[in-house]
Amino acid sequence: MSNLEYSISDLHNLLDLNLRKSMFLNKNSDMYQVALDNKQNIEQNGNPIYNKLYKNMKINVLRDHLNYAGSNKREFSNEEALQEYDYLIDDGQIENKSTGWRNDYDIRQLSPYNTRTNLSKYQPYLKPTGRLSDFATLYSTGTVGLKYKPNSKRSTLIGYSDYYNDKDLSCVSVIIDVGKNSTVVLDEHFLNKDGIKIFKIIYLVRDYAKLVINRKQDITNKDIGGNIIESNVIQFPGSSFKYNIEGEGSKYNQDLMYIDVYDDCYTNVVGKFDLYGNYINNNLIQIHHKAENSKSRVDVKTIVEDKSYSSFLGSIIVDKNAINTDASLINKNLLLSNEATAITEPQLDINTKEISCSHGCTVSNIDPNELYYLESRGIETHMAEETIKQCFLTT
Amino acid sequence: MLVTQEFNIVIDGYYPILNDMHLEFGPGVHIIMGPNGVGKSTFAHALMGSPTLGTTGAVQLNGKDLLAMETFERARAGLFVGFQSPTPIEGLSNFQFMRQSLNSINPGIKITESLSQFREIAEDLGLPEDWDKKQLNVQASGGEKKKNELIQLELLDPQVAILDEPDSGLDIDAIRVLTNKLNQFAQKEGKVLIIISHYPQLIKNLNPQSVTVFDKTGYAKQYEDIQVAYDILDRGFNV
Repeated sequence: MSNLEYSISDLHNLLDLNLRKSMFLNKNSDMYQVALDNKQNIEQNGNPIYNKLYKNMKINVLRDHLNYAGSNKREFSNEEALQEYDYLIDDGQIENKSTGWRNDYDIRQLSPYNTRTNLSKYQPYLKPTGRLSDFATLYSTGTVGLKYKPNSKRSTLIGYSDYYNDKDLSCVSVIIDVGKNSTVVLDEHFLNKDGIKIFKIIYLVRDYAKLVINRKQDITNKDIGGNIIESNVIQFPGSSFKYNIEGEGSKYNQDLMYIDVYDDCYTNVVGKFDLYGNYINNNLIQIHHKAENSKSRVDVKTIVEDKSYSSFLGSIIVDKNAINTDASLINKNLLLSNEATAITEPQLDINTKEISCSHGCTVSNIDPNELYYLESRGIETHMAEETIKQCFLTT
Repeated sequence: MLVTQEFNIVIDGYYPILNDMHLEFGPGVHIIMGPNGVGKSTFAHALMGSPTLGTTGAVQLNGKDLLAMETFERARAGLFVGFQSPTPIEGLSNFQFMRQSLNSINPGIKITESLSQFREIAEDLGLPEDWDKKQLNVQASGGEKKKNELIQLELLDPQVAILDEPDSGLDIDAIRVLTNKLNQFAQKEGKVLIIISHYPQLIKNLNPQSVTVFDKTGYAKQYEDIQVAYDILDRGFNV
């Protein structure tokens, strides 16, 4: 194929054209079967871009974006700047920038080229969902990731970057497996390409492990690039998961975080978004309490300025057996322009009475009384507005 | 010196609140009195440039046209209004706020000096030890908020200060400290202190130069004879 122009809406019709060595075409892939399942699901149920989940996510921007298959690939030219990361991850590729080794004492790299990784056992976590991340599973050339041994204590900086300067759609499939009793801090930076990338990232937080993710989106190419990041976190009993996310949006951004919570877990999600220009950010947080005695806190704040666009969908699901769940969901939006948009939607699906659950979602403007009070003490209007914005994000 | 001439205040762009005010506040202490709802606080905030109030006429602050200035410019020109109900701002500490304000009004000031000064004043006023770190007017009592306004007055050291019921919410001891601090301020050269209050002891201890009485018809009259204030305190506004 050369220079094929297509949008994601066309992609389901192009799968058999063998545009790349995707996992569903590669019978030797550890993920062949689940990749094929994802492909068949799309063939039966249609292109996931039409999923109603995306109704508030300005999906037309993504539909209208053109990808260029077969365009000339050129090695990433910004190699030096990427040296700061412990690991670089792209479609089917993972590289330890500091040592170049595949494994170190606590961490094993998961890679289709590493025969000891046994990636096939992760297939149950990649079953079809009807969402765009299904493309990441079937269309990726290989799943990669990191496996932390039990009792590890590690802090890792990951750069999700592009190895090639092309304008084709990239699909990235990643597994992060945090062993029992480990404490792992992941700093994740997403460096956008000139185009769209779809990520499916599975985080397994094993029994009594602690995982902290500090995610920064849209480090580069905000105007021309966009990411669809679906993260699935499975919290095993007694585990703790903290997710800190911040971003300014991009040409198109979707960050979908699905968290399955089992017994005696703690989950904390803190989001801070400061959108301006024409940037778009769509954020979904779903916490599914599947067993008893767990606590979850979600607090996502977004500032929308200029013509930026934000949507938030927060969902708490509590199963019948998840008694003594304590859940709270807060989403606050500060709207600073008549041309900006902020949409917030809480969804609660509670199936037991023996829980504590609260939610609060708001969209508001700058409080003129706060502005006046600051100005009355000599603080110039734009400085006063900046102060109020910072206060909004930090409280 | 603060002078108003033919000064009118309207709310919501139309409804007149105060009319044709010709008032003069020179160095020293001045008292403003009036029944509830006649516009005493409105007067203070109209001078400060509250965006909800419209004004016509002329107001001069040390010879400068106050009404031509933005709110922050009025503060920088030396005007200070102590709020009756100071606004809470979550996420902003008392000292961060003070530092920003000081940097705006007096950019040369040293932060370490101002912090130790802040802590000294807070201690004088009986505020908690970590007051500088507390969020601005958040979960603070009425009295604590008023004390916070006093710290700002002392650190910012404006030319003209209008304090809206600075005594409300304060206990007896705090009122004694308040009175001392206001007297110290008023005794500095050229300082104008305008107090909206009906608290007899405070008025007596401040030895005011004038009393301005706002009436229910939307007009104000200024008296140099302070006995007017005491008569009102004895017999009410209908004398």
